[in-house]
Amino acid sequence: MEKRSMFGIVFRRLVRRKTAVFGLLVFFLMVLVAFLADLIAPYGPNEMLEGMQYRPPSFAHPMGTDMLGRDVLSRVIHGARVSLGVGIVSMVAASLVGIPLGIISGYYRRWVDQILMRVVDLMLAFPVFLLAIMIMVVLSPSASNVAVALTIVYIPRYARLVRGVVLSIRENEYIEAVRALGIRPWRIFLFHILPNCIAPVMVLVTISVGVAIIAEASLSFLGMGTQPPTPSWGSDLREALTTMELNPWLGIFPGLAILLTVLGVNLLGDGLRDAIDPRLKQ
Amino acid sequence: MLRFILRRLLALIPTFVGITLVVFIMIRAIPGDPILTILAEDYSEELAQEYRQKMGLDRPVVVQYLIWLKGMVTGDWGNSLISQEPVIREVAKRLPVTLELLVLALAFAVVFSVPFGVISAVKPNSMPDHTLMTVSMLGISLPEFFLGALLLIVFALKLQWLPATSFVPLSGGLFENLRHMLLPAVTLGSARMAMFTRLIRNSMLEVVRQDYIDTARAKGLSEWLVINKHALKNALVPTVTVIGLQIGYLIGGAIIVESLFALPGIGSLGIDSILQRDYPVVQAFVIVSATGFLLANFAVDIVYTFLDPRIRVR
Repeated sequence: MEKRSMFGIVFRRLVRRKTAVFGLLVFFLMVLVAFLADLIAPYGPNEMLEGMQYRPPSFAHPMGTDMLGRDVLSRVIHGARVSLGVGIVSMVAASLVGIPLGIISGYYRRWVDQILMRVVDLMLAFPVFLLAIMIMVVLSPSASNVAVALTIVYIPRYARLVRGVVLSIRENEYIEAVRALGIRPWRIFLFHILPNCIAPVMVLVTISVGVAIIAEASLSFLGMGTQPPTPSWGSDLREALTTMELNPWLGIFPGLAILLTVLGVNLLGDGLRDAIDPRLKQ
Repeated sequence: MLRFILRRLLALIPTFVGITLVVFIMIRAIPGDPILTILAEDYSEELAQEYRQKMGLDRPVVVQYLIWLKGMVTGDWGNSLISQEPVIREVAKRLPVTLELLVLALAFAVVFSVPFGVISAVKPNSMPDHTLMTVSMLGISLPEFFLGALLLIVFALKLQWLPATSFVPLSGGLFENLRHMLLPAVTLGSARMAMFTRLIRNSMLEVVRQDYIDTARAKGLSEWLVINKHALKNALVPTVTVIGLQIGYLIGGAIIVESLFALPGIGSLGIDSILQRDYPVVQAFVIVSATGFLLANFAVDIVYTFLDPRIRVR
């Protein structure tokens, strides 16, 4: 009952903010577009329409066509799969690895904590995007490898956050009580510590999905992420750049798709943070 | 104070060694034999063996790392596989460009975010506040390469007010240099400006609630003085810490902006070398960027202790 009421409170606080509702709607719309891409896209993402190169936006092609006669709208719709897929999968994966590491580190402390946190410190010594580039140097460029790279980049960030939460709650009497009852550590982790970490982790996941989407697009823009012909907003913008003065729609629509998605995620994250814990601001 | 700075400086050494270790492992982890890349068509088993010996690749890994680390510290960074030039010379030539870009972008972000943040906080929930908050949210969500591409097309290609993808160094005259740096700096600084604006606003809103602000008002000080002298000073302290964290994003963004505007800096050097598999240059690029980030955070730490002396006591 307690759990439901917490989520209920958070949800009610969230929907009271218009910007958060807008963010939630945009995010769900984008997820829906990504899932239903095959159904709603008027053409295949790599379908080349004969004699239809570089057509400006029209009724038949609301976002125009590109240098190969491909429908830009269809590519933008399919691009949502890569962007949202990489963004969401990498952040969920990073939290799934980072949370246990953070719990172990904060709960056992001593040498386990020492070793884990030195590694975390070292990884945090690199700027996010630089570390992602370094990992992409070792892996070959592709959308799934970008997801792997972003997962690795974000694991220490989740571990650090969760460790902090665990350090502050492990001294509570109820933890001492369950320990005195002889309950196994994994049950303590799962039922008594983990629920306390959910709220701050959810806020970090939401906010970092936005960063991850931008990072994927940026890597693809630099030619180190998703490779053509796979539709991706970042690599499509890269291809559009050389002719963008004459055919601005080629770059503008993928760019707007990134902007709208990240805006939605950021507004949702902001609202979620205020709804869960106003003290987490900054 | 000097001792405090020295102590902090010494504390950077383990992190620096850690960074070099990560880069060493990264370069070794790249699939493929480096000898194969170097020799290319001249490859033969004997020649490969000779090269392995010459480069110390037949020694234990720990020894290899120590030899490599010594080279990194003493400035022997090897030659570029493409141009055959010493890597350190190329880096030295390009570093000022990146530093100028970072300084200009940060300056742009700070100069505009402070007044914007104050305007927003003075009348929260007013029209100007809502407008600034909406625009700043858009700014945070806008990737550098998209904003940069739009600015490039509008101001350089369509209106032709500013040069597009060319560069004039500082030695070519300050005015010409700044004209070429304006679009890249604005592109890089915009998202940070948006972020700082929101931060300064929130920080200001917290400060103006405090008692000493009431006291300042009760003394009969003008609202201008209360806000800009008494409130702003304290509101900026937490912002400085965040600027430190944001420098990491600026360094990442510089890589993209330099590539987009074809600026001859460290970032574009890094991307070119990665795409050409020029690994001696890649490792120099990573070490220089990460060390720069380390030193920037160190500088922010020191500035912070100046602003808030309570930290030194701890």
